[in-house]
Amino acid sequence: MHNSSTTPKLGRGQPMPVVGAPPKERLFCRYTGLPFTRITLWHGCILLVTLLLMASGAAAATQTDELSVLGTLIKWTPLLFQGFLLNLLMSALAMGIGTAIGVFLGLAQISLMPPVRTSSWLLTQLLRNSPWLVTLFYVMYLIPFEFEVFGVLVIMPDWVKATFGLSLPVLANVSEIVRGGIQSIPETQWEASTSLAFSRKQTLWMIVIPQCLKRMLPPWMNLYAIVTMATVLGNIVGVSEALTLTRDILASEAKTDMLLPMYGYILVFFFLYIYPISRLTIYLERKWTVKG
Amino acid sequence: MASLAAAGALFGATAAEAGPALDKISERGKMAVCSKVDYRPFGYRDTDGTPIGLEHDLISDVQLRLEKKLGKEIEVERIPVIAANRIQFLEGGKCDLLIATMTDKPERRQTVAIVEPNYYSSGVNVMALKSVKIEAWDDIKGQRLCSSQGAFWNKDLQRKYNLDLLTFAGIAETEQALRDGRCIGLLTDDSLATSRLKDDRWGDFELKVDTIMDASWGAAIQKGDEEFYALMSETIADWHRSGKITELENKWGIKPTPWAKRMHEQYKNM
Repeated sequence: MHNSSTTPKLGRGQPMPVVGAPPKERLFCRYTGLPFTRITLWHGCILLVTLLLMASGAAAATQTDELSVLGTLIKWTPLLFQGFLLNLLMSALAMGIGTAIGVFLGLAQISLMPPVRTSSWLLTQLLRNSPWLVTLFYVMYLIPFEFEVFGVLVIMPDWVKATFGLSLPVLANVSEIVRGGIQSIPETQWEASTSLAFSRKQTLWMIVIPQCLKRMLPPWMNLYAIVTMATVLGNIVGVSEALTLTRDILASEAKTDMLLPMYGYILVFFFLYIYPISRLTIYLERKWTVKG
Repeated sequence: MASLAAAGALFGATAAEAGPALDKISERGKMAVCSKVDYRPFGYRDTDGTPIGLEHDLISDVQLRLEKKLGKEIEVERIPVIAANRIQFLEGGKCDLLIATMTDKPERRQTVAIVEPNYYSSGVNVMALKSVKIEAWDDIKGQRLCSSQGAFWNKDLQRKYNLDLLTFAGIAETEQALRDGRCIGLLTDDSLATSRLKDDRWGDFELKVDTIMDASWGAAIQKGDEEFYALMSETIADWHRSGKITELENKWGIKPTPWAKRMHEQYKNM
């Protein structure tokens, strides 16, 4: 029943054709005339070196007996890292919540019951197409900071609220990934299982979903990388995450020459975390591309 | 989304009713204070993240007084705020007290209770390169100036002098813009500016004109809490009486303001 048995198998080690990727021989973009480049680890290194040069340059320019720019960055690293961990925690939680709900919303989108199908489609479109910051603001102001449940006082920290806010667009995107994944499985699979007396539920869970899990994983990881970057939106709603702390640190230092190195430093944090995820996604996409 | 709104409404309805602050603080053993961490030297972060600065010393003093009054130890939670959300946080009961470089304005008094007397005061001035020719306020007419977003003087001064105003979210960004020459001068808090100008890096800069729009900074609490108001009012009067404000100005490297001295003279015999 596996898909690969119905399509011609490609040889091992043979590169999979990737839709939309430029053919090897074309080195310049047809539209912009710019050469094709792929972000590699080298870009990260270049970024880091630039940052360091900038730092030492700025230090030489000021020539004070105070800490150099590099020294200042090192001094604040523990605090900044603490904030960055909060970004990671928020991204993981938002992704977890969003996925758990989004999977069901996605399944509801292919329901045979029109009301279920339409309402889940509407909800998906609404959340998927509104700016993330807008949903974030809604949640921040809708949920009170503390409330009583059966006489127990529940205090809702800002970062938890922000995480809920970020999980809304995530669940809508997961919903679309699931719907798209399921619908990408050829109709013939459904027909074949019906002829073998599988029920609709059995076909879905035992035949279709196992096949499309692989297809859904790369876009899902892609979404995770985006969510991680989006957690800095917490800065606008007052969560003490990395970007908020960066601004606080800049205010504490009261040194304007720290502006670029500080923002560059936080950029490196995110790059180092997201880059491997992005590489893995590309690898999995290549490995699991299914023809047809 | 609809169910979300409904849930929000439900939670909103059952949200804890904020009673008199002192009862709440005593019951929880904790006081929540809205404070600044992005306004050196009034409130900023130490390397380990702890908020420090002139205002945070004042908050610690309030803590001591509360502990004495309530006869038990209380914890202080410092909630970082920015100009855009501080009043909303206080009004919604997220914090019991607000000491966050807030100017005492009549429209703010409509939503929260600003404690009398005020605890500090500052005005607006223009900081620019020594070589820039600005001798009076009229000289900035039609010029491009930098300022911080949300500063209370922005609207008035822009209208009065027909300014081409460039505003930024953070103080660091604003100061960098001035140094980069994106504007000829910076509209700034005079007390903040004097502490900056002590630094060698700002050696080429100076304050150009006489400080105007002198406005006082007020601590604020929720409306309708007589007991807490009286306590805060007495606390601030005591700060003036003992000369604590001037003492803290020295500690944090701020040029002593005439206002603080005047308040000390006024209160010391009361």
